[in-house]
Amino acid sequence: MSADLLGRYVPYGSFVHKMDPRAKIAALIALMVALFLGYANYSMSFVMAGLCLVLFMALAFISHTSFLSILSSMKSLWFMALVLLIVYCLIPRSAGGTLAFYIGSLPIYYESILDALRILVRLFLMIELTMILTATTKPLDLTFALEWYMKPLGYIGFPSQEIAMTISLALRFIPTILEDVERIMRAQESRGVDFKHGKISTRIRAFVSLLVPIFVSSIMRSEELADAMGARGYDPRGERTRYKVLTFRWVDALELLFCLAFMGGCIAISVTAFDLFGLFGLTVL
Amino acid sequence: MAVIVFDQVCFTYSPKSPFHSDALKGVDLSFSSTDFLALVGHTGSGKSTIIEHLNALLVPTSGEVRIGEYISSSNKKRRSKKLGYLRRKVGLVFQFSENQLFEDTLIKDVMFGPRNFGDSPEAAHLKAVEALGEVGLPEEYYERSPFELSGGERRRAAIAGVLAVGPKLLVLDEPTSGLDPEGAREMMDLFKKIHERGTGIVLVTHDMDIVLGYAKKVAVVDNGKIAMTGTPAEVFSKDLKPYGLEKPLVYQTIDILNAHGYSLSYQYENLDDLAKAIKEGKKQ
Repeated sequence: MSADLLGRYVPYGSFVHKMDPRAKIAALIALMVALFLGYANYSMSFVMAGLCLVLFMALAFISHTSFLSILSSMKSLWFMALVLLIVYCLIPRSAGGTLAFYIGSLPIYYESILDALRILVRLFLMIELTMILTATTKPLDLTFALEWYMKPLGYIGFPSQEIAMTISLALRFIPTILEDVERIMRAQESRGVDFKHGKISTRIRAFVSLLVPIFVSSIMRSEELADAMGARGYDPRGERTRYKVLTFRWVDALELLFCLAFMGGCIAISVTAFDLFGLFGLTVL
Repeated sequence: MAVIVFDQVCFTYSPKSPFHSDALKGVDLSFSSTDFLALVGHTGSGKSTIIEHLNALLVPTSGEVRIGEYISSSNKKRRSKKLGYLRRKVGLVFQFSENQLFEDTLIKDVMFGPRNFGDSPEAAHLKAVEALGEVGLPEEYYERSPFELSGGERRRAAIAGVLAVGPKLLVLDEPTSGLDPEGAREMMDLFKKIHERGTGIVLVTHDMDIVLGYAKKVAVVDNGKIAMTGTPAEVFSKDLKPYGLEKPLVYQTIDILNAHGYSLSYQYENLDDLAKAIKEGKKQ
């Protein structure tokens, strides 16, 4: 019942939902490449990041991915931001830079701050993108897609089918275990446990009272499942058929093509070190 | 004696999302903390949601629940603050409660509740020993790991863990599911004993024979509302098919016998009494 769980699949009927998961993964990679390319200067980097932001926000809007959950993912980025900033400021800059100010005797450059900021923006956009993916794709479809991509590896003896089965089983049990977690949490809360408040030591203790029962029930469940699969003749090496067959439609190709074109455009801008501001004779950062 | 009142309680899971579901749609119910109340209804009718309101694990989306002086209301201003006090007074035993054990020894696990509510180790130990005695787990088990016990014993241990806190109202969600008939009867006799000692019991069950044999009051839950309340004899004499419920075995037998020319009333609590009555009726 935790609907507010980050990145959980939400059933809507947008074209993002209907897209073939294989095409979706490829599109995701294309967009991420576009996002992480290096551009002529900081201004261009941020302009391109802004372009990505517009595109991703449009995708999020169309696919009903809740902005609230995207924003709340930013909350956890705060700590990351701090660490990044500190790391970038401590790394000595071989290329030199524009001195901003001193902290004690440590020189801080504008470039360090901008680098940290750029990474942060990219991380945020990357998280947004993956959240759109997981919110619009059933976990099982994702595994099927991953398995499809791993197929070629089967020829060199890579157990792609077993791995896909393991992943889909793991995904299948997430809601079940979550239900367990909720039940045990409520049971322990009835015994006076407070999971949300109190000293660190009591909260660790509260957490143990949740962790141990979940661990035990998960192990028991996995044993039962293995027995049940064995009893119905599961053979990990057997050729498997699918109840649901993935179909690649021309719309999928079109959508993928669009993402590839976007990536291509970004690569072109990156390789030619195109500078929008330079065109107008402006030099910023 | 405290009174527990549900006043137009509605509860919605995951409001304003695709997972939105109205579990309770205006529950009105009142009973006393010395009652033995059974909540019956088919799967998904809202029984479990109702009992989770009894110690404010869930707070109504609208309406309010009053448990003695404690008020759990959708209106934040009316809501009582002393949650710990309520959790002490109302003990909840969940379905498959045997899964909630986690400590390395049984006695420590039973002491966990009292310790959380601020008892000293000595006081908690005393309460744990008393509770374990009550559920009938022998002293040689105290230092064993709870995971070494059998399923039925683990469930008893979990119940002891709740009893040790000293609740005035004990709420049980399907405490007999998965037990054999003998184990179920022993479990129910335990609750009967606890009830006779003055602790109120709220029991959720699918077993109508248990309801007839033990409960003093029954509330039928249907589609998020209370459809009917009364004594077991009153409720079971009505047609329960619309609520997806069956009558207890004795009542079913009486119905069949009446359809074949007998005229028996619903006054027997088990098949033995019924058989005896028929035998004596034949003699006369």
